[in-house]
Amino acid sequence: MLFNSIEFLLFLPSVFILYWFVFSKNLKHQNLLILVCSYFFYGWWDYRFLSLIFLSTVVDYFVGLKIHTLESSSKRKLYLWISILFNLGILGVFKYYGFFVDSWIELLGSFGYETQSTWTLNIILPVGISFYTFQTLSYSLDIFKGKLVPTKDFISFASFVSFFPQLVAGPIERASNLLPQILNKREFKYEAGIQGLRLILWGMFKKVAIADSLAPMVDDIFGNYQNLGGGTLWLGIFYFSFQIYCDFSGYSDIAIGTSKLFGFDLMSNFKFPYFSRNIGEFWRRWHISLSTWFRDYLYVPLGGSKLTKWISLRNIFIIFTVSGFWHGANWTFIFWGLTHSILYIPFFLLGTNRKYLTSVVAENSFFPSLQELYQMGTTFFFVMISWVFFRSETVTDSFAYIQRMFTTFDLNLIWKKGILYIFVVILIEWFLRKDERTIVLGHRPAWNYLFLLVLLCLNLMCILNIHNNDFIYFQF
Amino acid sequence: MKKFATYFFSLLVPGLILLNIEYNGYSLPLLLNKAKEVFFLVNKSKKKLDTKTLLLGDSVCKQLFAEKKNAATYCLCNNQSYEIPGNFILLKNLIEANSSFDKVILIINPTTLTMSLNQEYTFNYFIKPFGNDLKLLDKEEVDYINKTFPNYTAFSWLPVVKHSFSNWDIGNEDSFDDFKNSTVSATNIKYLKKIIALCEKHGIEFQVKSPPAKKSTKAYVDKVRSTLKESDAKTNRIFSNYFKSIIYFDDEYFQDGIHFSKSRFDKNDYPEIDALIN
Repeated sequence: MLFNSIEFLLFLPSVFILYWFVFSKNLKHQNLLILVCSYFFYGWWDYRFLSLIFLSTVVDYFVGLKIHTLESSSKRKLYLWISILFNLGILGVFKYYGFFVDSWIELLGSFGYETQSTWTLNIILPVGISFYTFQTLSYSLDIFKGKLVPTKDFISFASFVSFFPQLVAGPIERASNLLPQILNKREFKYEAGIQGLRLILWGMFKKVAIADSLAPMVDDIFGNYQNLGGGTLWLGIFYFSFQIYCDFSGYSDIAIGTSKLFGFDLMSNFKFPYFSRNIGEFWRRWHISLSTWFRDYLYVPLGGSKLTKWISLRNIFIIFTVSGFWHGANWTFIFWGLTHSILYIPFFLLGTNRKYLTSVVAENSFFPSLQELYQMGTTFFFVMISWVFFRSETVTDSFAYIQRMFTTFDLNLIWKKGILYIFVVILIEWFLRKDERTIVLGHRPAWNYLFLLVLLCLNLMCILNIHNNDFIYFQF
Repeated sequence: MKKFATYFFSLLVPGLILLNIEYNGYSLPLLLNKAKEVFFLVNKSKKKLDTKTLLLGDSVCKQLFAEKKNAATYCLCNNQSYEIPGNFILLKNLIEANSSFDKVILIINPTTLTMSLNQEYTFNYFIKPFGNDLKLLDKEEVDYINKTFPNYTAFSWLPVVKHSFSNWDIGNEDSFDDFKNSTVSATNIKYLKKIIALCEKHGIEFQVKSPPAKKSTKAYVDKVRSTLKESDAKTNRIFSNYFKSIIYFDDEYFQDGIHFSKSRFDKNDYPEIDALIN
């Protein structure tokens, strides 16, 4: 089920009423309701793949209990490997199998061996597989490290794995954050409910009004890039930068907002990444749940930046490449990851990658300083160019697109209206930049009420008026 | 919870009211409706219009003559999805509004003749915008509409429902550019005859013309012509002139089955286009 659909507009209030008015007295019943509704939510898209979620849940539930109860280190490791191999196995089969077979055939072809593939299977990519496998994997890893005690309550654990607001596109929650909330009684809090509503409205606006309006323009430009001038191609990648941001951060906002309505607090996934002053800050603000996942479960175990400079550089390359590959079984994503490692390394070598850990741009004033403006501009410029790899069909297309961006100059203005959409997003987010969760524009309640009313009307108009577009991150 | 519910409804209720305010045929949801121009067209048809030649027709007609909105020629063309029954309603509305014109030219593609209100966009471009005016059709068509789009009319009084673009999958729909169906539709012929009778009654000259077609569709057009059944002399003459009026252009000038490519075709280079309506 899509958040931006009429079905969800009916589903959400129905679950809300059942949750707070029918099942609120018994925690177990409430968790069972979450589980049933989550499976219903996912099954609405394709019920066949519910078996995968269920299987992943069962494996990690038992593995978690075993790792915790066993004392022998080797047996604990064995169970951890079962979890790792199972989760990465289903990811490998459903997401990467075709890629590896095709890449192998291409490699053989480059040596002159023409091979007809008899191994390629026509496998549908189950929505959200990369998200829930990483979520369950972190559960077993945390138990192994002794950071978490497994739960014996299967229903609660299954609810944690399949929690519908974040099931298909994150944030990738850690069990240490979400599971205790599921195991303990929730209470409805007015402030959280209001914040949830505002986040849903803002996230929906970014998705249905901005990302979906930019999508056809981006598709047109990328679909015909060979015939278009450089000016138009710059416009295309500028639009895509905001399309993907509004699409994905919009989903996260709706997920976090929806969770708040049910008394849950999910981690932040986006903190205005395009206001970042360097690449290091960008990665602390973009898809936070994934970058911290890789930091904790890959970068740190590999030695992080604690060992020699060369090992640190190697680790940076690995984490960015794997992060790119996580997004999809295509060389374009790997190149996208590599590009970011190249952008990140100079800051790492200069020791400025962790410069803006807590501060926000223009912290004490409304306007940024010239230096901040320059830093934001250059960071956005390089991030934008890297998106060419992310959006293109093939690596060859990416390079051809970039080449045309710099060597031809025509600008076709038929797609100019996207600028207005982007201006609106930048302007509003600039007001919100100090706290990504409040979604209030100022201290006057009347203005905020009007702002939310406009968002509500626009969202409903967009949902009723267009064919629902999938969220881009569903495919990852 | 009470406080939250109050806050929630204080947003939702005014929001729903705003979305359901209709003034002069306009509402907020209409702003984002891809078919909003047809709504405007229907509104326009209910107001008095004085011109010498009235153009009715499809999106190709609009592509070629949209700028003609003056005392000599007025283009009231928009989309193929409302077919000849829709054009009949527009004409009837105009006449009832005491409009005056000497000549009506209906410019439609041959594929339109083969449709029977069964297109992908029939719901959004015909049923919704024509709304209450659909009762001007015969019982046969009204029954077909009620059967094909059940329950729609129960909520169509709500502007948010009526003015939103929400597709209705009718199953085996026809598309204007797949050129599969070549049988002339009885529905369209019936309403063409109604237009002929209406024009005759009010002393208006009536012609049917085709916009230029793709060279590669010539065989298809001939096939459509061959399925035409003999009718009264007037209808036969109109169709004979219609098929004679078709000019064929190289396929490269088109962006799809019937529409001209904006970048490859400039109608100013072809005087025969303007000759179509003179």
